[in-house]
Amino acid sequence: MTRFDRIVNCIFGILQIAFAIVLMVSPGRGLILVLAAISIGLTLTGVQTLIYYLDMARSMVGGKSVLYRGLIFLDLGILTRSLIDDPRIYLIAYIGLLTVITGMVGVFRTYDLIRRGAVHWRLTAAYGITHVIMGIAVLVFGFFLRLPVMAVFAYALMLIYSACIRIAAVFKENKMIYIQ
Amino acid sequence: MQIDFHYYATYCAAVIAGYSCRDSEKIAWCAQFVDRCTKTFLDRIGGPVSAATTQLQLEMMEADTSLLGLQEITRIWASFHFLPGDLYAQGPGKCSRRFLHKYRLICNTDSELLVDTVELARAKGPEAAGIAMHVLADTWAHRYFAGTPSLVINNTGYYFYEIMREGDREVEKAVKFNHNPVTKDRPDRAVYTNTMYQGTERSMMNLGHGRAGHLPDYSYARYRYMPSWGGYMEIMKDNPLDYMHAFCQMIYALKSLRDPDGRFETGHYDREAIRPWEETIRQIFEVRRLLDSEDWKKLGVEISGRALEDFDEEKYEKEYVEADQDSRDDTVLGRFIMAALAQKSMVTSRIFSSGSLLAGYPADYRFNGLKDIRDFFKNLIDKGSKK
Amino acid sequence: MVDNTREQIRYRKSCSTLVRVGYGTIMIGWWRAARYIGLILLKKSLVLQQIRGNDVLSYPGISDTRIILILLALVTALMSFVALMHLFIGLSAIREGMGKKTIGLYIPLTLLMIIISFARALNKLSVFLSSLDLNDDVLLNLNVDIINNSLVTPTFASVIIELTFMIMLTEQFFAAVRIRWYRRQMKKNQTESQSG
Repeated sequence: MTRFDRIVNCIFGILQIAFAIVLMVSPGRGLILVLAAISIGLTLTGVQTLIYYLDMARSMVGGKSVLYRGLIFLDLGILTRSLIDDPRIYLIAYIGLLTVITGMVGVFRTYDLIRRGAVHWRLTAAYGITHVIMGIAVLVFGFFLRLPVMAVFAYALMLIYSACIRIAAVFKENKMIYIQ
Repeated sequence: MQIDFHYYATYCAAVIAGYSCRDSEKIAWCAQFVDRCTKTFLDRIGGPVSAATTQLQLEMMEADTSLLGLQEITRIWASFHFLPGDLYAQGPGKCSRRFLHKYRLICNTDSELLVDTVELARAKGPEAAGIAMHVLADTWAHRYFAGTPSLVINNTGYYFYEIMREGDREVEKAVKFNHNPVTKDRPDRAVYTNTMYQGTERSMMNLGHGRAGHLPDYSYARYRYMPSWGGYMEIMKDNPLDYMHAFCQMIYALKSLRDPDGRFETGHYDREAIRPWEETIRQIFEVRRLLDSEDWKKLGVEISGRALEDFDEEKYEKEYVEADQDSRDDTVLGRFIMAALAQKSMVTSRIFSSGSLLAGYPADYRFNGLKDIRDFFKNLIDKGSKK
Repeated sequence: MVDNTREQIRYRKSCSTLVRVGYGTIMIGWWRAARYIGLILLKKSLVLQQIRGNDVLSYPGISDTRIILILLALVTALMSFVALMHLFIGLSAIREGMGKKTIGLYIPLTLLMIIISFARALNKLSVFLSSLDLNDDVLLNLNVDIINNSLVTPTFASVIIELTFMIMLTEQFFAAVRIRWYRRQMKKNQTESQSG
């Protein structure tokens, strides 16, 4: 992680904690805010990736995967925006599902890291597993127990935990290799 | 390339080219020192940090990947380790300006910049010659990669095959890369360490030949792969052949530097000079071993009659630190630093003249209010005024 | 030792495309399965409304929960099949791209999926466009009545996703065909040179 990355991660971690507090204080409004942030983030990432493809990656071997990645992020961003006006229960479900998927990606990434012999897989594993558990908790509270406020609280707790992991990683020593 | 070539092989080349043992040692020391002269070291000895010719792993981890940070990284790596092959190359088909500028930084051999590098070392002593030899050698090992962090130029994929000799026949094995910094490379199994894939363009993981691991630095390696910039073209890298060319070209370059009326030209390799030891040198390049220092050391004894001492990074440090400010530039390290600054300034200037800002503004742009290598210019002005 | 003829470059490009799009096909399969199963779970009331409102499928004797469970089981089974098909096609494409032997069945299946994708994209686009053809009152509250009253919500996003997937599959199809053609040519040239 570079110095710049550490600063960005710190700020992002603090923002996540702020979001979590807003969610706990006003679950309904907080949820819209979270979804709006996710939507903007995904859309911007998609647009940025598409610009990168048009500017640079189209001349690169395997550059098409950058194009598809950009389109998928853009699609997800637009899809997320379209859910904002839906009943709250759909938002909880969407956020719960997204959290589970993010966690699964983390778990697969951990498996890949271990397979490739990387030594710094524990943080990734913790991140992935927590996301999966919390995502399932959000879905369970939202649908089976019909306690949407609890579902939102579970999500807020997950955000705080994720923020703590992010901030902890800022102070962790880098163990990646650079070929000189 | 590694210490075995930069230090021991360069010593052998210098002796063959006719330099005295003492000068050959200095040339070899300076050639290897290009891989050790970091900002941290210069800071410690009170030297100008702008003269850094490489970066520590820690420095790279902490490196800023903003525009200015990237310019600094590019200045170091493009000037000393990945000398651009053609700063006015046409891009591969239709491509954006940004891509073209990075494409033009791809390292290659026998370039105009190499001529400028060697000529810059003319009449400047063994220190400058050592730096020039390091740059020359690296153009052969690091060709097809660029000295700037770039996913679109430096990335490699699953299409990576090593050609190995098993008995009488040649076999191809798919190279397996892992990212564990602790495990050693396994040439017998074609298992090597490389940097992790990072999808961002400016990630330090995409600097130089990181994505190909240390393969370009192993003299025995023969492999074929698809470079990211090649439009699905395949490249065959024959390191034993390339390293032989590098060695012969070094001898030619060093001989040319000894000649006051000489002029270095590309495409010349002094094969005649190595004839008595050609088979030994070929065997050194072919053996599947991560480091060939011992063999080169033995060859050095055979050629020069004396053993080259092990590389000591701090050999000339005391001389520099104890010298007063006015006479520091006349020490070995002082001359090395001046030569490094000149090389960096020259390459930055050429890159800038080609229309690219990837290496920032060169020192001679000072007159227009913007400058890059402050210390070099300050030194030049101070020296000029004193004279 | 290297072959950089135009055909070889095209061949390598096709192999690379197959590998990358293959992974995309697998991901899209899982996304589709998750989406339809989620749809049943999220819009239970609408689903029940549709079923109860139907003369043939009203099932007055069966409780709402049972109907939803049966529907969920059916949809899960169907979506599992769809996801497995995507997995088969994706893995076959990846294997083919990496030069390993694979069953050619995935190529006609890819063509079938392109046709289905195209039909779905057209359908979604037409429903989406017709949903825009409304008066101001409804347009201002665009998502409220229209979305809540329809079982499947064809948003602009889903149209784009479907089109993206169609383009990916088309690339995969043409890359697969090109690779097979090229390999046949290589074999033919080899046999000719051996007999000659």
